[in-house]
Amino acid sequence: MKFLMLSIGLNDDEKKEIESKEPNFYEYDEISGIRNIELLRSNGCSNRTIKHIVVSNPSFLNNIPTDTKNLIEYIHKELKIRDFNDLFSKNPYLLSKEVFELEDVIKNLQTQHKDLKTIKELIKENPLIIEEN
Amino acid sequence: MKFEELLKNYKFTGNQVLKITKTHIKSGDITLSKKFIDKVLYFRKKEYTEEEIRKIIYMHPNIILLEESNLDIHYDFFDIFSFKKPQIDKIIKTFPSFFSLSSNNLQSKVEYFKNKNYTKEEIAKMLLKLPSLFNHDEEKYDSIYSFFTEKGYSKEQIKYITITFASVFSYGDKTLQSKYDSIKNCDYKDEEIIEITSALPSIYGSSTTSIEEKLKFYNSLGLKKSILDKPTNLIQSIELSYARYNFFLDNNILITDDNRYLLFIGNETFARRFNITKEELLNNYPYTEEERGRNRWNF
Repeated sequence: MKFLMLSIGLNDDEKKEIESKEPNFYEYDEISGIRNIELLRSNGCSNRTIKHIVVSNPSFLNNIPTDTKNLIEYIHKELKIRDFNDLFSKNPYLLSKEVFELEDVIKNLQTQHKDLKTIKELIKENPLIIEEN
Repeated sequence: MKFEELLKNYKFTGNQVLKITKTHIKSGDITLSKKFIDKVLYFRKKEYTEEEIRKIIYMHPNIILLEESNLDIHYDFFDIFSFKKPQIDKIIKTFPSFFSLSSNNLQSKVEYFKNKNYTKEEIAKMLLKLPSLFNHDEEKYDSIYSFFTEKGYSKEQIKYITITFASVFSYGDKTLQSKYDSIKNCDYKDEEIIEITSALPSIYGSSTTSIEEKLKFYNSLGLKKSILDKPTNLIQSIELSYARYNFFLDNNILITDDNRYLLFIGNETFARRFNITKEELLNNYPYTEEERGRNRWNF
């Protein structure tokens, strides 16, 4: 993962932060990590946001890239959210969710008498709501 | 076929083959190839994709040596949470070392959280958010509870934080303390820190640099109250807050206690009300590196 850390320009404090959260970080598969970063870049995330995501939620790099791709596609198609830079900078932990978990959150919010349009707006403005449900 | 060649045929990369063989080189097990094939077949039967099987084996090469009956016992463990297949698969894919935790160990972790008055549903929620939750020992859990208790968090607040942001269990009390201190450095009192972090537990996951940058930014604009009133305002980017603040200044809109909430309203509402989109705001009022540096200096 050293090459990946260099490529996104993490400073020493940020590296220490990651190591304290994820002691196994250096055992992650670097190729998967790079593919996950590429998915963020190709979906409009700035380098600043990518750094924020990696430092806040380093285990995201260990995602199976197909899972990350499916998650982004679901958010795009079903929730109609296009601004991934904004979404993931507000909730970097969202990237550790799988599609079925987002579906469960939406079902849960629907049982609280919220319609789909309101739910989409809620997630867009405050994606941390996903962590609460 | 030689074990190494078998791994290459199964599309593991060179580095992955090295890691897996390194783990097994000391075992001297001459039946590794057969055991590897058995495991691949086992996970195929469980309907995992080849990409998922590769990740499971790469992240936990010892899994090759485990008996299938042992793996089955671990799958059965999930019955107590009434998990469905996707939930179980997520935990296995994210934390395949789960298979090396003993049944007694797993059971004792469940009991630990039950004794802390968590329901099975709440434990299940934490496990899905932090699949490696049970990899930590009780001493570590205790240190997290002590940290929050000693700071003055109520039992309800601790429970809410640990359920919505289970990652605190992987951080350790020192990491949590450094986040706590970084908020305190921004002129917040203890009771204010408890309020902010209880409403926004994920702040414990942000870097200390980012916490301080945001809080000092709002302090410098006299907007500390906006954070205390609604800590979730902190999830808005500094870039957007800066642009909106300067837009108001340019348009002679005085920011008072009555209207400061406008800095944090939804993008579409803001665009309708002030006839300017988020993109236009960010282009017109860029929070440049120079500006960031100047603000840091002013702090």
